[in-house]
Formats: sequence, structure tokens, C-alpha cells
Amino acid sequence: MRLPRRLAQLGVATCLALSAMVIDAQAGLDPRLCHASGARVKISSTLAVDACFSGPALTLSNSTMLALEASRNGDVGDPTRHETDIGLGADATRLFSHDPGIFLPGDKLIYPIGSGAGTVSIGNSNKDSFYALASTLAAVFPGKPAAVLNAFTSLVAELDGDYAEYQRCIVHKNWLEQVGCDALRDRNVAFAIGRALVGGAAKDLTAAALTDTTYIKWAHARVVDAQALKKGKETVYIAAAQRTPPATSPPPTTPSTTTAPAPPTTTTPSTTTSTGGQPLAIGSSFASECVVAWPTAPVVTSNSIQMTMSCDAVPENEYLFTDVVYGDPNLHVTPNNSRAYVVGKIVDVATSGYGYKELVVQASSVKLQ
Amino acid sequence: MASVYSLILLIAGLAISGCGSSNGGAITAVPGGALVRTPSSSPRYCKTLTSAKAVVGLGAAMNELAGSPHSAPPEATIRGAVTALRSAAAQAPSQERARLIAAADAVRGLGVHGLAQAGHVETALRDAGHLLQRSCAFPVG
Repeated sequence: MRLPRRLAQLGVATCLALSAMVIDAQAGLDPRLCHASGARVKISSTLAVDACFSGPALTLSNSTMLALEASRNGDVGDPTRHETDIGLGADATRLFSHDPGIFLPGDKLIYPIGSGAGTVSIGNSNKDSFYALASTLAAVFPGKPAAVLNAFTSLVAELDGDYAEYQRCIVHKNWLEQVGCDALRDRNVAFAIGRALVGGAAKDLTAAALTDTTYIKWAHARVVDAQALKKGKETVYIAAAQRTPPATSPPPTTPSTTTAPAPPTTTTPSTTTSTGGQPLAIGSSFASECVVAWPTAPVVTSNSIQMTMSCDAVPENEYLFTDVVYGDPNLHVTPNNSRAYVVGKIVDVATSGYGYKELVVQASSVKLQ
Repeated sequence: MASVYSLILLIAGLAISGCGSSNGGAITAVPGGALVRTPSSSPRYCKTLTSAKAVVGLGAAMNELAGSPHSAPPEATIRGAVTALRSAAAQAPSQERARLIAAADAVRGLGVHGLAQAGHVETALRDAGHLLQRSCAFPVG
């Protein structure tokens, strides 16, 4: 084999540079994956995989060339898995990993999200070299995939080890020593394939295993693994839901904690009702215990304070929050002192860009409790 | 992304397999990439080794043997490698000579016993290569 030195240097440099590109490729939010909601989750544009949060679910799609792994924490359920690579190589990698969170290129994971906080983390599986080798050799491995999966997985695991030993052998050696390493690798590969009892396919399989291209694919995957290890895990943080969203997309199993409202102070009829029968029409009186919905901080102007609150008298499936405006900018509201009895008048109904409604109350009295 | 990956493999493949003309006789024997070259000032037995195609081609011969373990070993390459190692040994100082003869014997065993002899070949070539490095100053991969 003849190797122009400059070409070799160019090849190695380009390989490393492009490897870095593979690692650093950015995906982030992909609204094609779901009906996206910006509430509770901020998906970083540097996230390695495509992601979309809809409220009840977080969808991740592995559009990289890397064998990743995903893990969950908090109020996040087991994912539904959609696999696009169903070949022998991918199946063997899944079997070899023993990890239910294995996340191969083309896979899509859909996590059900509860009302509490949670995280989903993406990291490298360190199975890239196995996956590269398995995908390459699957094409020449005889037999039906379902019948040979265990044998094929064992073979690739052994070859993966043989290549690792070979890589250690050739490092910092001169050509004569490296030819010696070749002898060991060839013997180990031949013995592994002999043990796999593949009969007439042994010659093709050995030839495929010993081509330079196969070794380069394997070695490149090791580089990717090493770089990904430096990069560490990426995590999607899901904040706890402050209130149950409207009935169209309720998080699972969130018990209502709404208590009985204060007695109604008016008998004005209305088509809109509250849990306690208090009418919630514009112009109606309002009286209820409320709490500031932190972390939505109150807004203070020169002559008033405006607070986004959750109020006992307001059904959460009709109005996500109650916007209370009170003419005392000096009202001392803090996260530790945010519960109040609010009396006033309903002056408007606001609708957010996400479709949620808010009741707007002009308060005449706000008594902190 | 797939095209980027293909490009990586293409370039890396080119780098390893080598294509086009050689540059100052730079050759690699195995994917490890160490160049089969020696400085002009190095002893003659070093050049005898680097110019022996059969020794350089041992890796490919062993690949062939691994694919068909029950076939006859590639005799011409193995015989040629044994001859080149012995020829270099004849030109080398005593310590180097002993290592080169041991390597020639190990490679000869490859022809007789096939890859079952690979452990001996690896040890012998590693020992010889390590000792020759002092005087031959081969590039290291």
C-alpha cells in the first residue's frame, strides 16, 4: 500500500475535523415532531438531537450518526420507542447495550410528561464502535436476523475487543512491529469467526472484517466516542406545571387542590360559573383567596401592582390564572408572603398566544395572609 | 450528515489504502500507518528490510490466510519474507542478527502452521523492530 505522507496527514486532520463536526452538530427544537408548547421547557439550540415538547409529551429524535443513550428522572414516564433502523447491526447493538435507553440513529423516543418536574438526559452510549462494526458485518452474516441475533452479537462483541487490542498494539510502533500486530489481529479475527460457526460465509465475513475500511470505520467511531465523552451529557429540564392546563391537554393524574371559595358576594347571573357557583362574568364582583403564581413575578408600576395569581374561586380548566391589578405599588409580596384574600371586580378576560385564558380582576382590597 | 460521514470514510480510506504516486518511497504496511522508510544514513540492513516487498506484504498475506485458514499459506510471500529477513540478518551486528533470525524462523512457522503461529510472529517482529529502531530510525506510527 502506497501512502503519500501529505495525503495521510490531510486525511487524519480532515477526519478529526469532520469528527468534531459530527459531535458538534446541533439539532434542538424541531416543531415538526409535535404540536410544540413553549411552557415548562426551553429546548436548547445546542441539543445534539431533535426535540419537541407538547405539554403531555416530550419527543426526541436522533438525527445524528451516533449511538446515544437517553435517561429520565422525575415526573417523566417510560418512553414509547419508534425505531427506523431495524437491521441486524442495530438489533445486535441494542442487545449488546443491555440499556433500555439506547438511542440509535433514526430512533424516536416519546416520553409522557406528568405535572411534576423532571429531566431527560442524552449522552453517548460508548457503543459507536460496536454499532459501526455490527452495521458493516451484518450484510455478510448468513441466516435470518431473528435466528442469528445472539450469535452475531457475540461475534461482534469479540471482534470489537480484538480491534481494541489491535489498536493498543500498533500505537507508537514502527512498521515492523505493526506487521507483528497484524498477525495477532488476523489470528484473533479468524478464530472468532471460526467459533461463530458461519460455515461457508467465513471467508466473506473475514474479508469484510479485515478490510482497512472496516477498521477505519471502527477507529473513527472510537474517536467519536472519546470526543463525546469529553462533551458529557445534555439535559432537557421540564419545570413542574403550576396549574393543570385546560382540558384539551391535561397532564396525567393531577389531583385538584382547589378548595371551596369564599361565599359569593353577588347574585348577578352569568353563563360562566366557578367551582363554588360564584359568577365570573365581566363586571361581576370578585372575592377569593389567591396565591401569586411564582415564578411569575409581580409587575409594579408607579401607582399599582399587577400579580399573576391562582385563585380558589376560579376554575383552573376555564382560566389558567387570574391577573389581579391593585392600586398599591407598595404591597409587600414575596415568595414567602404571597397568599392573599382578594376583593374586587372582574374587568376583562385575557387570552394568551397558547390559547389559555386569564381572568382580569381590578382589586379594591388585597389582604396578605 | 450521512454525506459528511461518507466523506470522512472516503478521506480516511484514501489515507490508509494510499492512492496515486508515492512520495519519496513512503509506504505503509498496515492500517497503523507507520511509514516503511529509513533515513539515508541508516545501515544497509535497514534498507534491505524496507525494500523487501514480501516483508511489507506480510500483513496482506496473513489477511488472506485468515480468510482461508484451511488453504495453503501464500507461499511466495512467506518464503520471500524469510529470505529478506535472513539477508538483513547477514548484514547486521550480532544482537540485531539474532533477532532478525528469530523473526525469520517465526515467519517460516507461519508457512507451516498457519495463524496458530501468529503469537510467535508478533513477539519476534516486535522484538526485532524494537531493537532495530535504535539504528534504523524507522518512522513510528
